[in-house]
Amino acid sequence: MGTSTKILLKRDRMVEELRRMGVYGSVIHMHRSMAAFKLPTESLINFLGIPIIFVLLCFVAFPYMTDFWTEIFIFAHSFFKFPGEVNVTSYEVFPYYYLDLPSFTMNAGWPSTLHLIISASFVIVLFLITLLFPDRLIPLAYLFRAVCAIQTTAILYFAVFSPPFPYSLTGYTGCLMRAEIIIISLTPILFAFTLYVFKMSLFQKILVSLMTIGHLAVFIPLQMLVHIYLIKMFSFIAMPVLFFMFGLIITVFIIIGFYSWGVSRVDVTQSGL
Amino acid sequence: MEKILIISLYVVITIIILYTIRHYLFAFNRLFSKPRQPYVDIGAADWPSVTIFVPCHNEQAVIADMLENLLRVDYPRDKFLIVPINDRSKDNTQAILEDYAANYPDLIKPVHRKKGIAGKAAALREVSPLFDTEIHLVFDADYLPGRGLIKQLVAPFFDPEVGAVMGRVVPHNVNHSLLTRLLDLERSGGYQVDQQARMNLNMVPQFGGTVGGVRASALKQIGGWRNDTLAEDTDITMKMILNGWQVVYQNRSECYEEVPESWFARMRQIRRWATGHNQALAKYFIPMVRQFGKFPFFTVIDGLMLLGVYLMSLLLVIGWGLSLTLFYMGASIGTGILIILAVSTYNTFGNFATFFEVASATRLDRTESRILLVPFLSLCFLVSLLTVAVATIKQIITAPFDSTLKWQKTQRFRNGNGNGNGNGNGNGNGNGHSNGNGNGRLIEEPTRGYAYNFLYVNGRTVPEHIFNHDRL
Repeated sequence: MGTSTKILLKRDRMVEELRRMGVYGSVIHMHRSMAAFKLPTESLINFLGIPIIFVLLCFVAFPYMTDFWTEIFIFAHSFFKFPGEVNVTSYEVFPYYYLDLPSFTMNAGWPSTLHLIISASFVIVLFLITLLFPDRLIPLAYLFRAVCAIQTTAILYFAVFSPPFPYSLTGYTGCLMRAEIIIISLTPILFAFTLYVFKMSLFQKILVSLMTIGHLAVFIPLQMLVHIYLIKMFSFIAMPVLFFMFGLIITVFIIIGFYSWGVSRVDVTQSGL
Repeated sequence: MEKILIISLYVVITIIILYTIRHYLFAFNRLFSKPRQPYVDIGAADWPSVTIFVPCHNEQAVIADMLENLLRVDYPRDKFLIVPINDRSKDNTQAILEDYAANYPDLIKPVHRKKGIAGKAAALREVSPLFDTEIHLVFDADYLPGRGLIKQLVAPFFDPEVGAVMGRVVPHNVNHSLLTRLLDLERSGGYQVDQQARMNLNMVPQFGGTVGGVRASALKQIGGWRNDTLAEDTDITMKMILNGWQVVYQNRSECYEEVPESWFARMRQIRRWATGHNQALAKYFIPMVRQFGKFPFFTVIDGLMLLGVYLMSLLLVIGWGLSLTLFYMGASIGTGILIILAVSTYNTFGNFATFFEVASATRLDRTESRILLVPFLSLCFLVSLLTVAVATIKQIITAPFDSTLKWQKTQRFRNGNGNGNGNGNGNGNGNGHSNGNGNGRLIEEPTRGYAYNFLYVNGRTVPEHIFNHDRL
């Protein structure tokens, strides 16, 4: 870099500092409507580097994580005194990448008339309760009504059709777990696009990713156990609502929760604010 | 049957993915591009004549604040006129307007509508031709315009190709409840990112029908305001674009509004928006499609996506229905691992896009703690999604082009104590206009040396920046 270029760069920096200098050493902030972030080289390196490292680490750590899940399943099996035993099946989670995922050999049953009556009563009561909700609980009312709507479809399906149900408990567990593992490995890539591009310390970036992945690694087997327990207890009639309302969507919202915390730590001074 | 359902699901997913890509594109553009804001810094000029229309219907709780703030703007006094349009108010609105008109006869000329079609669009259609100024600005009655706002909104009209200008709407009652906080986040994403990115990318920024205005000659050319729509703003946007006028979004031109404080009011508001927007979709989809080859490709695409935005809720509900049906049928929507990979990716990136957009906006707005509420936006989305979907289904069944749909006014929540006639005219009724000086003159607030302006709210003069505090 030539001397004249250095002088010009120094001049630009000084002009920039002067623009932001207020009285008594205060800083004049740029109006939010004018602000924009810069994409420094450091961010670009983080943008590519951190997710690649994390995804590779995930691939190395996944077998240990699924071993941990198996231990949890074994503990739950004896604790809840489930029939059958814990089964470990090898699934292709990514092309040419296999993992041993735990499941139970037991299966759930086709809902009896009693199940249908209990389920219908539950839907009616829940729906009626939502009608009593005050204004501030409207979102909760809508959430419950969505649950009621899906549960109603399940009641109608099991009332009209006859066995067999196209899914088994083992298949359901394996499918959902595979999807959840894919979501875990996508998390660093998602954060690369939406979080690492901001100015944050490297430590914070790594911390947010580790916390999210760590949380999911513990949450997912517990979520699966709750699903299995409820489906076993209430028959297949519980599966649709658990799959659509409390499956992958919950995982994504956990990621959004950590993301919102992470993005609150972004250094906004970089944007000229 | 199964094949048809699977193809339908893929079509729905493809459309949703297009909107997802749009969210990411807008967020990245806004985050890392210099915002385009033409002429925003002009302070001294030969300003054009302006009429400011304020449609009112039972606005006694808010109209006095609105007028007080308009009377404080720094636009040349001989160049602007305030025209409140009282549309059959049954409360004290008419008396308040008459009182202000008596005190400021050269500045405020209220029009009282007693007959004709009710609603904002009809009121504007009837009254705007009566005022022969170059620029027509429109504000809702609950807004609190700042001192420099009118100049900022008028400045883009120095470009002769500009037909309409839209400013940014910022809620001032943010800290009232979870709903108002969530609506603040939603507005932030909509304006700070969505609108500004469209502006940066030369796409179709939307004229929102308030905090904005139109060039009177352009309005005349496109046939004026339509009175057979619930979304006159979208209608004007589309007509302007189709007639070759530019619509400008001015992010710096912020104006404070009152967002609904109850979920019922919010649902009513969004139902009206959806119905009106869908009317515009029915009217302008084909004309917009015909612009391929005439307008830039992405402008047309953005115009079409803007028109279809409220149809997305119905589409999502259809997507859920299809997924459920295929689930019960035990249908395989693809083969093996690749489909699980695709579904997981779609779930992760698709669901995340809107939250990223809002988070980006709140970061640009320099709010910190409020970002933590971003996951709760899902509640807001769920309510909006189901409300809009039901409204759209009803509209499709009953009246897709119905021009007689009833206008439903958004409920106001501001403390109404400050609405009377006491702006210092000596007959104040002790209702909160505490800064009246007894002789009918405006209170000139000291602005020199301050980096912010003052607004008039609930009978008090407050610095504008108090609305910007960042608390959960």
